[in-house]
Amino acid sequence: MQKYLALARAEMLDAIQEKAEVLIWMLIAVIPVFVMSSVWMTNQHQVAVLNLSQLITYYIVAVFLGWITEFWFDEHMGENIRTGGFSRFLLRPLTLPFAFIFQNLGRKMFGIPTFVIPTALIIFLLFKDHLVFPNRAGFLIFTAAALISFGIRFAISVLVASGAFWWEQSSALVHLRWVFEVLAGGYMLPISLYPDWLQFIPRSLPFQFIYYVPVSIWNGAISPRDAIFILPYGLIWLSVLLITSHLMWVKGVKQYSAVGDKG
Amino acid sequence: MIRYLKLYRVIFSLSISRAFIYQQEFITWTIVDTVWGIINIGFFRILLYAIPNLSSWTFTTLAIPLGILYFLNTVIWGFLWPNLSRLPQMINRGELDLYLTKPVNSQFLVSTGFIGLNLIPSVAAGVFLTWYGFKLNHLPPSAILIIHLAVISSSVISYAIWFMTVSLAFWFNRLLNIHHVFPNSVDIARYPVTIFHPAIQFLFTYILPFALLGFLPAEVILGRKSSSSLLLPIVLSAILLYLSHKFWNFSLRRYQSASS
Repeated sequence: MQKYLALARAEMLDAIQEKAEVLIWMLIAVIPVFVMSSVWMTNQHQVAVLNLSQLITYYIVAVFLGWITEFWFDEHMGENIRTGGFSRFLLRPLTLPFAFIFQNLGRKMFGIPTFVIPTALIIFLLFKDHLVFPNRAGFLIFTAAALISFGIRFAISVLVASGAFWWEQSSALVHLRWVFEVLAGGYMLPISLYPDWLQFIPRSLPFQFIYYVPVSIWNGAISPRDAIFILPYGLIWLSVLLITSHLMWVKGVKQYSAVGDKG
Repeated sequence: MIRYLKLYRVIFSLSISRAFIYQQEFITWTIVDTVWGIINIGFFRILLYAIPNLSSWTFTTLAIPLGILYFLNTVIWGFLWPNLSRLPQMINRGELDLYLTKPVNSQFLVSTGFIGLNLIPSVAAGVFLTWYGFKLNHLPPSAILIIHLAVISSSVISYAIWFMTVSLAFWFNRLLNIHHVFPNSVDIARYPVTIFHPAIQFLFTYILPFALLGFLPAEVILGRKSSSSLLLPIVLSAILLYLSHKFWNFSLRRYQSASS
């Protein structure tokens, strides 16, 4: 376990060096909160089953949940495999892709106290009249849903990263992941606002557990009682994705070959 | 000027050759662009299914600014991104020497070396939305001239702001993602500026003029504003282009080569 903590610490030190870049990512992520809040504020009436406060809270919680649960190791995998840079991961005494979780947490250990919490405070002050908070039961169920979201995003990133072992244009798979997260995950719009005939598609896929389900538990669109029946589906999806991604990863690593050193 | 046009013609033909050499890459990214196009149009369709209008813009009228912005999207991702996305890394690694030592304007060289030709779907989406907007709003074909003018001025404004933002990389030791700021912020231009707080409206009209990129020309086409309003983006594009050139030369003084 110590070696994973050392990896997390090394990543945190790296993030400190790149603090200006971390700040830029944060600023970029906040833009949709202000834009979508303005969109809903100009239409101050009940939209489908959500009121204005629920809608504004939806985008704020989605942005913060997105920061906490995101993975990005798959975005560089194509290049690492193409250039042979992936070899340096294999030479370390670490279990992959498990180690990527600690690599990811290391960056968050720096980003959360320095940028995420101050940004959350500013947003809280700006939107405090419109924020909706869950009760204790709702918060506990939200935490469980956020953990499922974290696991699903990890498994999907492993699947996308595994694709890079076979396909040179794997960055297109990363775009595909973004598309599904944004559209079927409910980041762009809550799934309940989609036309009825269209809702069937995102509600049949695991991506709804990334944003829509946890955030709807937070803003009360899904009651804690309903959430108890919905979350087991999320756990089933999580298990299926973890198993599939593990199998794909193992198969992909066997397929990998590199010449020379590229440290 | 003619020299630069000839140079750009050579760069363009090289890009066509590159697209033929890397066919798989070309096809893949064309599909990716198609998917993003469908999502962007789908987003507004669903949004305007949930609410009756967006600050008095219905999907029918919204098709005009969205059409202009799709053409702008082609310029941003096809002509600017392949070049400006490389710039922060070149500055950080001290690789600009290659451009600075050539007998051509360095700003021109770093801004035009690569062209991505896989954005045909974005052009198609722009044509479709413009046609759709013109048809449903019964607009005269002569208004196409305003679309051309809008796309040119919006492209210059976008280029100048983006280029100045990326030039900030000279002022920091490491700012490798600075090129992501503009393409992410330009999404603001997809919404009518009237949805924002009055202070933000001023900011997005005169300082970071996202409001002038698609919605102002669309309002002129729809007869909501007079033709003289178009002077603002035209004059501003010239000023911003000049400022970007000045800022580039000013920032270059901070450049330290990494050669041995």
